Amino acid sequence: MRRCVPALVLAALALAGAVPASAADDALSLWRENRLLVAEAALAATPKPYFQLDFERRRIALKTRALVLFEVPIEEYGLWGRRPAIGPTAIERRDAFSRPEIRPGEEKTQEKLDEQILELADMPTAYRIFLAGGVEVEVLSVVEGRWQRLRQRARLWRWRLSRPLVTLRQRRERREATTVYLVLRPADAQRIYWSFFEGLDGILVPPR
Amino acid sequence: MPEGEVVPAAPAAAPRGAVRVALATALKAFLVLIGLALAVFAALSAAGYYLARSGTGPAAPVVENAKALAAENQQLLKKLEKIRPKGQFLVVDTGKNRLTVRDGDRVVREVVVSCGSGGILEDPKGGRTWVFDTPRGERQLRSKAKNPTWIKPDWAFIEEGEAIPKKYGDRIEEGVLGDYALGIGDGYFLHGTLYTRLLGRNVTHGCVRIGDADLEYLYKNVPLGTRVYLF
Repeated sequence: MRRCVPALVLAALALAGAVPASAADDALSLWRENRLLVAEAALAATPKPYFQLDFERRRIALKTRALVLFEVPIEEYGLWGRRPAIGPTAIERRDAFSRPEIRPGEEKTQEKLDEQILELADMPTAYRIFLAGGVEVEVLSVVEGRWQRLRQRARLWRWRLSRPLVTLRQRRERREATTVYLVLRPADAQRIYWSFFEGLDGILVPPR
Repeated sequence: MPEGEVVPAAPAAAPRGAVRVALATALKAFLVLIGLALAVFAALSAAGYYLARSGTGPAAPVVENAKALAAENQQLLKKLEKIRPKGQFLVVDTGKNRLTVRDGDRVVREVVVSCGSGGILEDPKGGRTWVFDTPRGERQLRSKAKNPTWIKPDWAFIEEGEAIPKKYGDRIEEGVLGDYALGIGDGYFLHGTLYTRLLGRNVTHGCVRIGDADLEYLYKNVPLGTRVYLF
């Protein structure tokens, strides 16, 4: 017990912030900030919108000209595989969603109107997005209800337990990918699907 | 025991004992199989875990001059601040059907609008498809018109199941675009609507429909050249 006391004191000081971060941490923060700013300066110079998937701050933002159009929090995430570099990326592909077809000459009733329009509430709350550089993102939504939550927990545990086997399969296929799951609030997941289209450029900020 | 007396064996005990032994053997085999499966899973997982952790990833950065890097970051932040929109601009949220008039960071007015329905219309005679999305990205207010007239495009006739007119005059429709129309390029406008009860819903063919009072405000207070950001 007596041998543990200095370690406990040090731990307590560290928790209180009395022990300063190492110089290496400061340099890493500077470097990460630099990579992020360089990527954003390049994207903000164009008139196109871009996204920022920031695991460090746990936020996803849509921006244009360095202006935040909207931002949503990441409730929970998991990342497996090759750690992606901090920097530019793009949405290569996402799960498809079929558009309503307008039939010529059809009578316009309230019912038909609802069938023929696409709104935010029609967007999926669970889907996959494939980013450049082999990053596969599975978006899930926070669920309500005890059984639904248990099922989602079980699904996330299945995800975690299966990751090493996925790595083995990828190695056999001679590819390295990063797989990610994000849990968002349902309305936020729908908003992301609505606004993040294929070809949209962005910035990826992986966790430290 | 008197001679000749035969003591019968207990018939039920032998089969029950054999069943118990068989069950115990089966259970043992099952547990061994589960154990083997878990061991294989653990071995594969360990291999996968090792490969994932030892896979190539970005090299740890070597920061030689932290001061220079900090100065570069400050320059980049200033550059981004310069790029960020200043003064008056409009932001159109096509998902929530809201148009916001901004002055820098300040929200001057928020307006309920109607944006594109996202529907697809195909020309039954073939060859043409229209997708009714409100375009996204950065645009500018390019024109303003009072009491605009709608010159119906081909899709408007096809949607109604009507023949496309040969005479230009048959395409003219008055009073459906409201009191004003503000052009943002490529045939897209911010304009009025007869269907004010549908404001807030995605019902248009790509243009942004606005209620009368808000449209008048925009016509009178937002100058040409004002940037419009749509997402």
